[in-house]
Amino acid sequence: MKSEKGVTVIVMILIVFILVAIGVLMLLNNSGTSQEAMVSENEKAIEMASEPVSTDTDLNTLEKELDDTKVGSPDEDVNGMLEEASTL
Amino acid sequence: MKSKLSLLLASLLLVFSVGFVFADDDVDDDSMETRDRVRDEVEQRVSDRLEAAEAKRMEVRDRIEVQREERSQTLEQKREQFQERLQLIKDERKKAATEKLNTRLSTVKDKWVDHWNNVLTRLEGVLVKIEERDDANDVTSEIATARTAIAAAQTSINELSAKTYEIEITDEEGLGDDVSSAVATLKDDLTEVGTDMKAAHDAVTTVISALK
Repeated sequence: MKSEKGVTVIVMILIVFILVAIGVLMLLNNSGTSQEAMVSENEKAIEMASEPVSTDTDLNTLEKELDDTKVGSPDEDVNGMLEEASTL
Repeated sequence: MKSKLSLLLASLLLVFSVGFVFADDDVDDDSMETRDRVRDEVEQRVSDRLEAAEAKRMEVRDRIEVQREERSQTLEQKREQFQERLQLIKDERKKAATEKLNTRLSTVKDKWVDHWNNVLTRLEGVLVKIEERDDANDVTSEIATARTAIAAAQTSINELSAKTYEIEITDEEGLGDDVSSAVATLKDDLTEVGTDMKAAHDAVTTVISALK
């Protein structure tokens, strides 16, 4: 009877441990993905800005070209550097 | 006799109506040709002005390159000083990381200077095209505001480009603060230029919104 209870407790602890581990892994994975997405967004903006605009004066084209022209943000670059600096 | 007359009248009517149809086609052809010609002329004009704007921007880029070359001597001296001060750091990991970060200060700055110059080229290109539109007269003041904002952003970029960023090492204990301070200075300067760039972008957006 006692050993049955012990097994149940161990199994419960194991389940909780596995659930917590899955949660932590998911959080880590998500933050990594969003960081990657942000970086690639900047890289995409930089690549796009190097392309010349067309000769089309249509308002829709102008709007699209302006929309494709992203100012971008250097925050990602400098924040990464600040993070590294904090480990020194 | 009457039927002959009505037959003649009907034939004449038919001939005239065919004439009208052809005349109408001629008008259509003429207006199509005129439209095509006008469109080609506008495209040519836009293309010429875009080329002129690109040439102007290339001049700016060349000037920045010349400035970089001129600065390279000063930069070299600063690098030597940095290398000397780096010897104060005994921890090899910290030493390597500091050296890497010092190089990144310049590469990150150059990357954003180049990108923002490209952005201004495109914004100017969009403005040039707006000016070639028939309704450009309705937005002259917005265009002028956008041009001022672009010029202000260009000045900010040039000022940023002329700056050099180096980590000034005091000692091993304060290394983290020394590096953070150099990065924070770069961050502040980049943020300032970024704000001017956003203002330029917003100003061009306002021109397009006013055209709608």
